[in-house]
Amino acid sequence: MVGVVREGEERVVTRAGQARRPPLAGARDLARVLAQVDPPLGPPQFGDEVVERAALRDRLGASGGRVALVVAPAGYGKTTLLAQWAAVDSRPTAWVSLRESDNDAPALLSHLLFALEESTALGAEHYEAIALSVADLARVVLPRFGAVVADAAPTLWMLDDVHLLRSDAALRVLRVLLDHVSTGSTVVLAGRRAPDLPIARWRASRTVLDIGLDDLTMSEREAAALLRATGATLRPGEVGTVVARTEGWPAGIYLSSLAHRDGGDVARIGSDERAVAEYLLDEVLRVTTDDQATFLTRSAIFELVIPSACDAVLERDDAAALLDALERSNLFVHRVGVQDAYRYHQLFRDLLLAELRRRESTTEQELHRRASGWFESQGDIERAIEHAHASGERDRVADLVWAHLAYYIGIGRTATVQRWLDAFPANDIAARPSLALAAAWVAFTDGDSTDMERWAAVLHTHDLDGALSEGISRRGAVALVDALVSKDGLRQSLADAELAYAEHQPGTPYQPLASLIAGIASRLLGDTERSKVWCAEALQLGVVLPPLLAQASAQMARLAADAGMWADAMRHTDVALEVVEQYGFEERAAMCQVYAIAGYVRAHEGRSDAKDLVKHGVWLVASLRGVARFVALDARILLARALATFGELDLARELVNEAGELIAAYPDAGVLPEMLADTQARVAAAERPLGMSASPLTPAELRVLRYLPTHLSFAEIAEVIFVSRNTVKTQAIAVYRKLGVTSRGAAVDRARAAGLLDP
Amino acid sequence: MGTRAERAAAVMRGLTAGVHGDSTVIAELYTDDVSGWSPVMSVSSAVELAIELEDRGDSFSEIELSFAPLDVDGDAACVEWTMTATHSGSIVVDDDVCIEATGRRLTLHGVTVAEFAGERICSFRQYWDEGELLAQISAPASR
Repeated sequence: MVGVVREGEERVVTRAGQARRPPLAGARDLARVLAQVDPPLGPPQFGDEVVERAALRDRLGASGGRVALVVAPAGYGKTTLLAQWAAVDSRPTAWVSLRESDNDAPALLSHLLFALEESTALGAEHYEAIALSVADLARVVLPRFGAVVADAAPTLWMLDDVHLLRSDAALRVLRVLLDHVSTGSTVVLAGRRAPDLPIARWRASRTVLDIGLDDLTMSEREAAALLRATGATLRPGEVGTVVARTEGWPAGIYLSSLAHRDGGDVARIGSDERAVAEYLLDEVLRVTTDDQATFLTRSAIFELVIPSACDAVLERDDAAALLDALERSNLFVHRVGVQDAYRYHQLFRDLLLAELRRRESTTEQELHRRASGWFESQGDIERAIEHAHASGERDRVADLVWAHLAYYIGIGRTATVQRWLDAFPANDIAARPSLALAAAWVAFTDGDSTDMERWAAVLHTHDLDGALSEGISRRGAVALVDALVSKDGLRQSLADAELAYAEHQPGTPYQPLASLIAGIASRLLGDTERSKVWCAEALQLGVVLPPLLAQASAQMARLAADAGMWADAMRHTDVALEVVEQYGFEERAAMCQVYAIAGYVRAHEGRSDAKDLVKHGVWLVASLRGVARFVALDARILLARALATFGELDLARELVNEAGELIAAYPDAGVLPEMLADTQARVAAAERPLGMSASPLTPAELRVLRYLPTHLSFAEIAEVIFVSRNTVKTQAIAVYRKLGVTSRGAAVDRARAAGLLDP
Repeated sequence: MGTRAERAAAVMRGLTAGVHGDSTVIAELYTDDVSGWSPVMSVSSAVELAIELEDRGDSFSEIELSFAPLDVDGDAACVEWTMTATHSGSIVVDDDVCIEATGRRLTLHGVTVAEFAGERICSFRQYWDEGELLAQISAPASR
């Protein structure tokens, strides 16, 4: 059994040392948090005042294509058309109303997944595979998402407001959806502009159906139907006038009908949004009660209008009834999803906000301030920060970002933190220690040493006395960044980490990280006992923080391996790898040490996965140079040592050379130079033996090699490693051949000289 | 090429090393690509021979071995031998048939024919009666 939780608590480890997976339900919850999806949003529900656009709908339905593109300006009925198609299509619909926040790939992925769930039963494993692997987008998440999409039953995917997707990450997700969509499915992309995707190529291959402005422009017949549906009774010839004035623009036609119904002049409605604005201001709000108008303008601060949020922020108790009434009487208020939530037509919302600013110039900021507080109280931090930004309360934004930084960094949503920071000018970030710290942590996560050092230097220009937040002093927070930057070497890093530990109260997420850094630094300064104490502390404190649990377990494995306690080392690597896999940390550069240590230990134990682990560690360590340079050095040296045992000498030499360059620029490197020299000798020894085959030993051969120095016969080795006697003999023959020897004793001597066996 | 006596001695050393499971002399006595056959093994390299000898190294103890060179001429040598030993470890008599130690004292007679390339054996064949061995052990084979 391996202790991975606090003493006295249940130990989540199986007999074989494999950490059990936590309950799968948590994955779905996390996915919901990541997507910031309130209960599933389906297509908008329209009243009777819509026109069946049967011809267009049938054209879309009959196309049979994989992709349909519906592109037109606001008010042309794109969403209405999609909803009408969804209503008659026999396939299940996955409806996604896109938002700005979907530019964050994890949010978009989860949003798409929830939409798919509305039509297709998804097992918990899908949430686990996708939602919990948010940090590993390219290698793990997208292929898994592609597989889920490909396996889905024929589905009608409706992605509305696709023009909102601009980030590369979001467009990558979209491409995966389009590339993998299952046979018989159709993806409909609707928006004001076409997304930045290879549409020309699709057109060339005739796999896309285009619906554009001309298609969506209403004919006189359709306009007449719409006017009738709204209750307007125009005289002969007036329909033609309306269509001519509005150029067949459905929103304009609709507004004309309202104008007519209310006794206005249909000729006033023009074919551009300015005309609509004038109309709305003069006519639509005029016909509502003052209370309704005030409610509409004030509630326009919400992108998603939730009655409970309106009641709390607008200080009233009738939002649900008001919204229900408005939805019944107004085209521009749509109910969304199965819960009581609404959206205002974007154009309508823009105009309402403009009207709010005109009528109550100071109210908007106050409303955003209240909304920020309400969403924070509901645990919706992203909306809380958005409203705090909108209220202009930069100090509050800074406080919120800092308070939730560890969580968002921890679940791989660095892009979201970066988006929050992007809203501030650089000098504003520099002026606020909490934001400068957030910027430093984003730089650390991205492996950007230049930025991290720059922000560390900025932090030192501030007064470091006082608390940054509850339980965290400014001095401690800055010391932790300094410990990672390690500008002055290992002893200073250890001192900084110990200071950071002392300056953080128990329960803060940074205290276990300080322990971990102190543990690594102590080991690299040759103080094994001190390292054990710090790493054990990190393991205990970090049990609720998966990245730290993985790192601390790996460090415990390293200490056990150095002490020759290989069975303990194996158990710790089991835990570390399980956590990395389970929480999707496979692509985090900082995890290179986990892979290096796990690969090294498992190579010693002759495990078949050792080589892959080491290779992955090499891939990760490439992006870790200046950030946490002692970690970068330690990992490179260990990886080179493991590679030498596999006969991967070119790669081992490359890592040794890189480590040499890094050490040359590192002022106080503890035992790292000694470790490097030892590894250089091992690599050189592996190159030296005459007659040694160029081909490396396989993990299976290494496993047999490990038993050759013992008194065990081949038959006894076979029993120990659960293979046949003939298998052991075959592998031993390969070992002898590759080592260029003809006796067991010579094989052991040659392997030791080559660094394949410990002396 | 060595003398007749040297070649006879090489075959006898090879036989002695074989029954003791001593692979340390293989590089000296056998070519890298030596091919060999006996009722219980077939090898086509020095490495394979080493593994076979090491695999059988604990089959016998208290070994007495006597030789009678029959013919040593040109590149070949032929040696008749008699081994008396205690069956103290498992003997693999076929790919998967293994006879565990019986503690019995047994005697085997055989002939080894070896061919040389230079001073080292490049090929050998070893003839002895497997039935004689099994009869003396008088134990049922176990799989």
